[in-house]
Amino acid sequence: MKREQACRLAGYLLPAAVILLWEVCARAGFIDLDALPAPSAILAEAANPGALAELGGQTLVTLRRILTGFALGGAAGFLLGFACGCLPRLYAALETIIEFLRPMPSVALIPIGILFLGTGDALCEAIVAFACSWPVFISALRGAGAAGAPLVNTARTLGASRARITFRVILPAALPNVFTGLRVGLGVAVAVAVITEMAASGSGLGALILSASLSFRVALMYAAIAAAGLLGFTLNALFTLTEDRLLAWRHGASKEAR
Amino acid sequence: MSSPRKRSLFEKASGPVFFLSLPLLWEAVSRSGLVSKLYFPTAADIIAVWFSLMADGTLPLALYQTFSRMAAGFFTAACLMIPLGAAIGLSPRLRLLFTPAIELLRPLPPPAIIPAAMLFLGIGSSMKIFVVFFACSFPILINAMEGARRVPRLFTDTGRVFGAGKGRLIWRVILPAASPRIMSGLRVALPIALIVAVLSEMVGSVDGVGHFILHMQRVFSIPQMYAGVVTLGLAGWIINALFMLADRKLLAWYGGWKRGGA
Repeated sequence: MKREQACRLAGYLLPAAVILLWEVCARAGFIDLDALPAPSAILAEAANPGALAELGGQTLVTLRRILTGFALGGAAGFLLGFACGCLPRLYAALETIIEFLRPMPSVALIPIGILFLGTGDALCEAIVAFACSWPVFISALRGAGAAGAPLVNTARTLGASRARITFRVILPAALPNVFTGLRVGLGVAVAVAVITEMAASGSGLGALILSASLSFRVALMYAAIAAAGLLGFTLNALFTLTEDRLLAWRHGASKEAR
Repeated sequence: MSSPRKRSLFEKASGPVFFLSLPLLWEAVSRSGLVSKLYFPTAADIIAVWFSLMADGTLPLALYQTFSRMAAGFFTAACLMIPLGAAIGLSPRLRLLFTPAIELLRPLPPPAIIPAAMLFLGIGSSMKIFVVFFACSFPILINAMEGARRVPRLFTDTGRVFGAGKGRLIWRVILPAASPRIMSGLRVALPIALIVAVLSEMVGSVDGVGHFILHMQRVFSIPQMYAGVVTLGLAGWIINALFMLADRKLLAWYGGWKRGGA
């Protein structure tokens, strides 16, 4: 037990030790400060009011794009996936098209998007929506089968209508799957928002990271990278919290099934 | 997914029919003039341009550049992260040691490090390979960790009872039992590798498919741009299909094993 605690403590100290080593090496001149400034210099840059305002502003721009795109893509992926899961004929008709579109790398669509949507919010939101709809689609498709024949047949025997079975039996049973897909989709949304802003946009964290790098404001660039990581972390943590609240029943249900 | 009932003729035929009607629909929209023809060239134009670009070697060369970088990054990540993940998954101490560091780096969107990598490695191939490697590492590492950790106690105990040494236990019991999870990590990482490879070419490069597409858009060679996008879509689809095939061959035992209710 005692050694376990020592390992846990060492685990928390490891990142701190790496940062400390980085600081020492930077001050001693072992690393090229033009490529990697000291952590203290990055923190100082992030704390400077002008840079802080820029970081905060661009983070908000990116956050708004992520949330809009995620809402659109999540809703589309869920509706299409759940419909395909409930209606095998619809899925059979659409499967070939879907299997062609799904592996399409979302970045490849950016140049097409620029033609039709310009380089502003709409482009970013559309690409994010496209990219994050697929994990949700797949999980809703699989989730629609999660209720299983015994539950569905029981409901049918008890005289439930088709609509009632769909919304009261199949849908609740699909939710844990759907939420897993949504969580993956949210991670994808963050990454793709940054991607789109880098490839084609004047604003947002991705654009800030790239422009800071090209204008050799290296400390600002690292601060913006850290902000992107923090944004991803916060969104994931909030989502997990919501999921645990909304699906609290599922732990009880799975215990009973065992 | 769907139950293995027999599919009717309608269901078998409808998929390909819908798929083949897509270019026809495209052609019709383009000819009708609903959308500017400059932005939306006819399907016939795009296909003709695609063939000429394939024949004169432009697209094959760009594809080769993109895929060699993608493959280098992907395989490096697989070779390093599968053993590391398995080691971390097997040892509770290593897990405690590395978890905070992994959780700290994991939420970082991989494309965010492209500009930083450009400062260290320039805009050549090594930068792209590194970024692909970084982006692929996390899904592979985390799935290998989980796979090794979740090997049922029964399997390892049985192996031990039959006198298997540590090396034999790892190679013959733990790795096979973890392999479905390891494969699913690789499956997640594969499209990420392609996306990041293409993006790194768009942001900082003078070659590869990513640069080709964005460049063609900037100089308004729109049919060429669409040809590049179609190529990428096809390539993504082929890679995915090949991986699925390998997955089915390598893990053929797993499907039956799962159904057997172990």
